Amino acid sequence: MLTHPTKRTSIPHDMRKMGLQLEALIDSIIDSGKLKSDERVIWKWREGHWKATLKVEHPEQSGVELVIIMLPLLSRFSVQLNYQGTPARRFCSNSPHTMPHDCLEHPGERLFGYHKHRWSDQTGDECCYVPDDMSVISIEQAFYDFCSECGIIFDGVWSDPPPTQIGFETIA
Amino acid sequence: MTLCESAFVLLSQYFSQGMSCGPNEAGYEVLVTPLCYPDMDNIELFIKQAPDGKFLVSDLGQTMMKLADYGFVPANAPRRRAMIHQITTSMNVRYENGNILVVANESELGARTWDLLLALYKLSDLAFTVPGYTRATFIDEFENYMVDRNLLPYERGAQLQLDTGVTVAMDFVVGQTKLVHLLSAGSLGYARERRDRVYVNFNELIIAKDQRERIAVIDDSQSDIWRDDILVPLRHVTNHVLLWSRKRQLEETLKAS
Repeated sequence: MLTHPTKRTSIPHDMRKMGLQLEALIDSIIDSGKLKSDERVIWKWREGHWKATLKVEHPEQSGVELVIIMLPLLSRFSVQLNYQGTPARRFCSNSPHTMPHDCLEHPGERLFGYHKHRWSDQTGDECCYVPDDMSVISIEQAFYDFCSECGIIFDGVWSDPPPTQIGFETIA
Repeated sequence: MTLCESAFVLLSQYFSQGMSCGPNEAGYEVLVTPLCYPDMDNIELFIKQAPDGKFLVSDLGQTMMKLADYGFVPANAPRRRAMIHQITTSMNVRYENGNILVVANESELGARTWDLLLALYKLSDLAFTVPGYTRATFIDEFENYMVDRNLLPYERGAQLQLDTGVTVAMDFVVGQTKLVHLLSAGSLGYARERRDRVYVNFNELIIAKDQRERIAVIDDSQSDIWRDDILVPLRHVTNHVLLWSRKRQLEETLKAS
């Protein structure tokens, strides 16, 4: 079983001017405890999946958002925290994953089931771990657990993805 | 057995060992393949037999879901739709409401499944066209190192106006006296090109009689690229040519007053 990688020490925001890089900046934003969203979850049908995007407020940073995607054919979903378009954290409900050889933990191993990707400057979003405090009983519970793990206070309104007729339909 | 034959056998073994059958899902049998999406989640194929005896193989929307994770939304982007169309038509796979699929007889199932797998792999790489999905470069790694080792202050990407009227761009100016260029390359051709640019910049400093130290830092993780014949010209125009793998020497040089 994979475990949470060692947490980095939080670095003040003003260090960004001195060359603080993306990974540490993302960690400091998450560790700040100042992320908050009061948006309503509104699902939009995209290319074969439901997608909801929620703006996340931070007193010093912009471009933070939550993206939830639900794949109705497989009942799989992902919950993702983006910073300036970069996938900072992503929870995948159920898919096999192969750890690249440059990951610090379990290089080359394949794991199955749910896992969480964590952005790093060296490996992008390729390395992941199995969180021990997240539920996959429902997408709603996973969303709240994800927010809690990422230090996001969610005061918005949750709604489940709309029911979907299962099957293929040809589009032009 | 020839080298080619050995490679053929070993590669076939490796590929087949990398595949496995997962538990059935949504009425489909699941084939886990060794190929991966950009985030290293394995590409899965979902297979079932239709009443007419043909086989339906699909990704059940996973590839477009992955692309959506990266912000690759083709909805109102003709160019993105065109890229998807180009891949699906060249691999002769169907795109239906976000699902990529093939329908095949048993005799052609292997070939069509391979086409589908390649199409999914190609499509998933469209994530790299999204600007947010990029890793750190050598210059980012170097900057991280500067912060970690407290080699402050420095300026990244500094433009220097020289007395000759020429402006040169430095990767880093450390303190007031050290000018740093970083050299990283994935091929010999690019290594030469990069070396030449750095050579020209440092030469401009010499012509302008700039007294600051000129330092070249080589990303020697590709040690077979930075051969002596590539590096010799740099030594004529620099005070130091340092290797990224030798951090102690690098730190001493950057800290020296």
